[in-house]
Amino acid sequence: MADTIRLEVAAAPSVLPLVRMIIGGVGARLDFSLDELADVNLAVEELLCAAQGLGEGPRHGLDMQIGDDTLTVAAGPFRSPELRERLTSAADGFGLSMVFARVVQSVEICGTDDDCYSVVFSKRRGAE
Amino acid sequence: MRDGQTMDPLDPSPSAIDAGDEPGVDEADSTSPTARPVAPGKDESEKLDQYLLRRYHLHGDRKARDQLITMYLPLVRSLARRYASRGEQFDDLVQVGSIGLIKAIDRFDLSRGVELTTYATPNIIGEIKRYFRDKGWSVRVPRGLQELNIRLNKVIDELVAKLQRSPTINEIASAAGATPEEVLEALETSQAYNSVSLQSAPNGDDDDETGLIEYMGSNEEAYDTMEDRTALAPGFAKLEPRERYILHLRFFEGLTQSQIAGRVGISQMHVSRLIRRALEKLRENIGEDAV
Repeated sequence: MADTIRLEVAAAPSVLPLVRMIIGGVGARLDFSLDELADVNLAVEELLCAAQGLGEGPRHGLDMQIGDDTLTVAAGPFRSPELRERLTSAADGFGLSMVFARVVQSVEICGTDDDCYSVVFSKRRGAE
Repeated sequence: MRDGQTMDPLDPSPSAIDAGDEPGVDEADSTSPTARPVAPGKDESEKLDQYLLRRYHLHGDRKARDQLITMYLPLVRSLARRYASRGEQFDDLVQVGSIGLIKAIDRFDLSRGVELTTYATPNIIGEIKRYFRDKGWSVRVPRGLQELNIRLNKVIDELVAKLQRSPTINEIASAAGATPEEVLEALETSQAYNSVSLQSAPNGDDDDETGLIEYMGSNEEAYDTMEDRTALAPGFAKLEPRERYILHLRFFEGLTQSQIAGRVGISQMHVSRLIRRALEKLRENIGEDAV
């Protein structure tokens, strides 16, 4: 059975070092490479920073599910339509969707209604 | 001098020194900075160096030491100039480099048969680098972690070369003789290091004297001709060309951080910092319009 680590942090840049350390520990347990670890950290950091920039908060939740070779992260809850748009927009240009497309294997928006959603993404060991 | 003996005026042999003679200068002003022969050749300079070093180390002549320091200050200034564009005052670097020079003179081993220039140069550079290293941390980081962080740069590069892939935390820990937790902590502290400057030497240990700017300059043309320029958002275009280049490699060409490190000739940790900083600047530049 996969372990899940639940983390709830303030929506502030100052928590990012702590988040990176925890993700590092989880990634080490999955035997992620340094590159893979950097990718997960980048995804989390960009997502949280974008959310903070759009006024999301005051706290963010991060659920990290540790599979055999995959780390699945669920971040939220978010309400910003713009954040959703940025994550799903396939428009030309360098943006959040492009970053996610490069650094993780899957990303999806999960929510029970339009107002509140989580961003769930996964990183698989050895996929790159 | 013994009767009938012919003596080279620059002969630093013990007999010449013991007799109180000096290569090319009078005893009275032997320690004057101006006492050095005008435009001496390389051999003459070496002989003068050796003479003064002997005076200092064998006879405790402090004036000989002072003269050596004065003679080699241009070397200190020359080496300090290489690092002057990295955010520190040139005069401060000369001062720090001078400490390295003095240490080199004091520790010089006459029996080793090396030139003072050869011995002093790494000492001077080492002192300047140490200065940058100590000044480079934006937050207080314990020295043990700083040193582990610096060691990790080499360990990671060696593992990448050996394994031909990005190493895991456990592999790095094993190679570095540290625990995975210590490695993670050291990697995290590297984010507090200001050496992300594009002016910094490529490797964390600064072994390579070539600045990243110089290195990446050779790739400018390739960047300029890339075809997906239209895909760049306005905020992306505001980045420095070299920052765009790193992001281009990662997000348009799809290279991993280790692959970028190999291509550009810098460490993976440095690439990681550069990407993070570039993305941070993007957010600052374009606010809510991108990323």
